[in-house]
Amino acid sequence: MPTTMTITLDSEIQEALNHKSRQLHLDPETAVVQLIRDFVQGRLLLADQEFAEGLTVAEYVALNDEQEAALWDRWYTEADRQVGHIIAEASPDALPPR
Amino acid sequence: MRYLLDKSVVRRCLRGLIGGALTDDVRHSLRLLKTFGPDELYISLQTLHILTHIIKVPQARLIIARTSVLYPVKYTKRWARRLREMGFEREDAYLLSLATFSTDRLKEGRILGVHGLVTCDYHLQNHLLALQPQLEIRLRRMTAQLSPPYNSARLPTVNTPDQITLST
Repeated sequence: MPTTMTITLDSEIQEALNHKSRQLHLDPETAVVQLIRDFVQGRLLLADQEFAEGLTVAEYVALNDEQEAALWDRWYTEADRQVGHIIAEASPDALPPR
Repeated sequence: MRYLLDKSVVRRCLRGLIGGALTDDVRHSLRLLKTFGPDELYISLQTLHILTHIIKVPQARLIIARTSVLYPVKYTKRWARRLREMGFEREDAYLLSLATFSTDRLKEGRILGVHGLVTCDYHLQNHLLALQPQLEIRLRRMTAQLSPPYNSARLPTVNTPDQITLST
């Protein structure tokens, strides 16, 4: 059952929301409900949300390619320490690439 | 066809999914993720660990849902050592070896290796192409002494995401 929630916006944001909603042919309430749904379902991230330990989404997105690659290299080394010892076994009739 | 995505491709997929800049590499990596399914796209255990234990945004789970894990087998480290002797960097050697000697389950794995390694690293691709004839010889020499299925191991191709998506 739908419930009502009151949101307080300053007038500048309210005007920008109305303007953007008009451009998208949406009423402002529908736009806000859609944004909340996307946020709750994880499709919409907030800038201050944690991306990884000690790093927000905004900080991660601001990294250039070289910095991002260096970060993943560090994470890879850490991951390798955790899982590098695991060994599996293929069945004798396992399929090689054809 | 089965492909192992290296972490350069996975991080571009993630960047696209969280709304980062859509560079060509990001677009092609995302297209790869959307075009192929979990029986075709594989990631290493290390990449899975990064996506499950280090990265905290839900977009990481989308990548996990679209891929499967490729597990190393008893010959992965041996072949990686030989690749390092031929000038490959430690991680590149491991990934190329994983693409050759790996399977899809911890026990009684149903596959041996993948057709190709997908990377955004052009240097790795060129290095493999330059050494391919010698690598084929060394791999044949090694697999001749192994029992099934490992005696059927093959060298993977190395492709960039655009080379895969443009050919489909």
